[in-house]
Amino acid sequence: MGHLDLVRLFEQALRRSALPVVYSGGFNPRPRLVFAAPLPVGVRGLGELVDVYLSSLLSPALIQERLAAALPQGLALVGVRRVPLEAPALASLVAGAAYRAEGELAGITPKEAEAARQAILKASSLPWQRRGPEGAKVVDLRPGIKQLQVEVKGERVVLEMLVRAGQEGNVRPEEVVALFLKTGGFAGEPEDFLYYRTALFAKSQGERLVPLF
Amino acid sequence: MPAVEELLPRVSKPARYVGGEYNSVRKNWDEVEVKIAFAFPDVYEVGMSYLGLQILYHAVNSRPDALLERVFAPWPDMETLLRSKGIPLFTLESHRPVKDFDILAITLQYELTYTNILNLLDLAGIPLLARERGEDKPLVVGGGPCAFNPEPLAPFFDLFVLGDGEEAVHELIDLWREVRRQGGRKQDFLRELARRPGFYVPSLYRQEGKGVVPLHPDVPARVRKRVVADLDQAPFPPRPVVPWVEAVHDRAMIEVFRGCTRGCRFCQAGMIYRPVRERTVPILVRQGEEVIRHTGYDELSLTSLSTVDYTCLLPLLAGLKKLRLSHPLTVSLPSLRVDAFAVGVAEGLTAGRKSSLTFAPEAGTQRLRNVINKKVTEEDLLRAAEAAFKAGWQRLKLYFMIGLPTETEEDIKGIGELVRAVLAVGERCGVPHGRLRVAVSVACFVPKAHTPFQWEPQISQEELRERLRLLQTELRREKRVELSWHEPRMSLLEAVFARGDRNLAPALLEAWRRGCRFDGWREHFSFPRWEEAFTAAGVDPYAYAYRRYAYDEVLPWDHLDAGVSKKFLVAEHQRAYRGETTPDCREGKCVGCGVCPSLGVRPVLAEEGRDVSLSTGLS
Repeated sequence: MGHLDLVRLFEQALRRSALPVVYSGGFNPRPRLVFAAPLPVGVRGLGELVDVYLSSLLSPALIQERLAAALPQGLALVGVRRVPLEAPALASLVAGAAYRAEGELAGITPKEAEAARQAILKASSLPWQRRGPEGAKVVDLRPGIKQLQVEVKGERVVLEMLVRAGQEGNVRPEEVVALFLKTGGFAGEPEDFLYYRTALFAKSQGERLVPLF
Repeated sequence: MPAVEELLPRVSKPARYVGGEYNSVRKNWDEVEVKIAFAFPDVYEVGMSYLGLQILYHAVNSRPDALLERVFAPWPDMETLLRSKGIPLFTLESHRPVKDFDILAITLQYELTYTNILNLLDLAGIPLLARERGEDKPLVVGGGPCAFNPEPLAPFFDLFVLGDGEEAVHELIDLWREVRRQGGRKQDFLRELARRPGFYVPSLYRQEGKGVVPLHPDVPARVRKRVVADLDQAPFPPRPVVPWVEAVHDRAMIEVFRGCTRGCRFCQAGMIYRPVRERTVPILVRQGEEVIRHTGYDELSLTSLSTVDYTCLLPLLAGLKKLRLSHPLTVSLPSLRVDAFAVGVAEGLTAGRKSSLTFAPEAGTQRLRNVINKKVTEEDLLRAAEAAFKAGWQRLKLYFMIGLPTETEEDIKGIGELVRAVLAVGERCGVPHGRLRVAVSVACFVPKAHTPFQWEPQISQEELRERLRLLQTELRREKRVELSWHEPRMSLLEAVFARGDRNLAPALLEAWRRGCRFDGWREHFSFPRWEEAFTAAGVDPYAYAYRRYAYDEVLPWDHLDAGVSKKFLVAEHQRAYRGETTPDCREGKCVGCGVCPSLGVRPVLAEEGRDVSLSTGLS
């Protein structure tokens, strides 16, 4: 589901919940909500965050109960926290994202996987061709890859990564997987992997990333 | 079926195939006796806009003994994946193969979805021809407007349901249960059903010449459509499924009335859904409130064939306005009648936001509008335009049809003149020059079964293109006009299948084999492939589209009874050529279309104290 569809779905759920949501002005009033970071199509979110503005103070437990009941299956409301109005918007805080990629690669050994991981982390730069609406351009993925772990069990491969996200730029999980496949010389396609975003991170004291929720 | 999960990342818009939407119903497979898969033979976003699907979904899933799950035409990227991995077509709710269901119901909304129907059957692993489907294969049932001439599809279907489905579907399920419990076979079920109104079993008939006749004495010679007499009593879904992604019509809907008696002579919907049956205001307000609360939509569309004609429109709008909802709500109408009253209503609904207003004058001259019985004058249109511009709209959209019977160059030029007159009104009303826009949308006339124009030929492709060129020339200098038109070759195919018979089935099969899919989508439509298919099947499509059918010839749909008498259609056709209009029976005077006496129904108007039934029994 695209980001705009997710927004639309949350707006509908908020209306169904009948919570005292703040509506935008104008001819087409919509519930005021802002997602921390758009979830790419095809990636499952396991810890997505959204700011919702309410016009009266309700207990998080009550909000949890009412909103959870208005969400379709597959969208679970993990938790509700009260945030002061003057706190910075979530979207401005996001600096990193953790992803998990799961797939199967025939004949891969833990040793080869580890070697590929090391090669990626030790590289000083990782030029990567990225195709956008304005044509292709080359970016360096290396500074955006903060952590990378690889686990191999039989043919099953799980990559856990912490990458840059938010206003300073994004590294996409399928790019890291493609890089991993190329570096290790593994036969496979990034599309063969299932992707999860497991958490969003903010910066704390310099460059250190801490979970947002 | 974990395989589905793996497919999703590889297709565009995976949300089309996941299911589990808010208000979707997933039942315990083993506890339900009758399982129906309901297919809309187009893509998810189109199918999820269709109210009929939501109505039947609700009607069937409300029964503890039955379930209905949805399936849509997979987009070509998904089709390729399904075929390469050998995964059979599955429903959204349970991800079960369609072939595991008892019944596959397919809605027939549009002729250019027919190749998608064959494709659906094939992807489901169901033999295309009904006679090749054994007892273990689902019963394939069609319904919807194209079921009023389903002959080109006859060999592929076990059954067609004619008319309103809300009651017929229960009868079908009940009988299926009964026959199955007694160990009966499909044929026993179909034979029994064929004797009941609304159920047409094509295998119990054969084509003789152009007409279709029953094979057995206990099978009726004519099948009469089903009509729900009282819509207030009919089930309406309070909790329609809310699609994951934005649908083509992404809003809540209530059906204000069914049927339309304005009597436009080209319009099939205006004939086959007769009589008019309005719901009453309190019922509609309640349904509107429920559907808004349970979906979270911020827009409620009041649907019907002509909502401004609803006798209690203002009380309905007032009732909806009084609803105490926790969020802002916009009420909208799907189309507007061409008059100032309609504009006033629209203005009351928009709360400031004015994107564009749509009117359908259909023809460019009064003469031709009389021929088609579109009782709209130039004055009506200009007044409506004036009201719209004064209220703040800057863009109007006008629908026209070309290739109508008796049309001449004058009528095409008339469209140009009308459009220029509308622009002049806009200028006079002070719409800023750079903002004033008139969008002109042109459809090609398609003769349709059960209409006064069913005998009419469609004009040739060359002639249609010539007339479009003329119109382009007419409007060439008008920078403020946006002209668009329906692809004439698509309209040709529509005409072929709308007036076709069983001999077309092999051509359809050939077209599908040659890769025709999504023919209603310009990016997929390929006329050369269709031409090849007709040649291979030895079928002349032009004999269906371009030939004038004679009054005394038997038509391929004469055995299907929409209630409107052939006598009336002939009279209407002749009045068209005399340029005479026919009033709307809602005005009080019966026009003798034959629906009420033949179906034993009456128009139902919501307006208090108005008794139209007195004047309708007289015909």
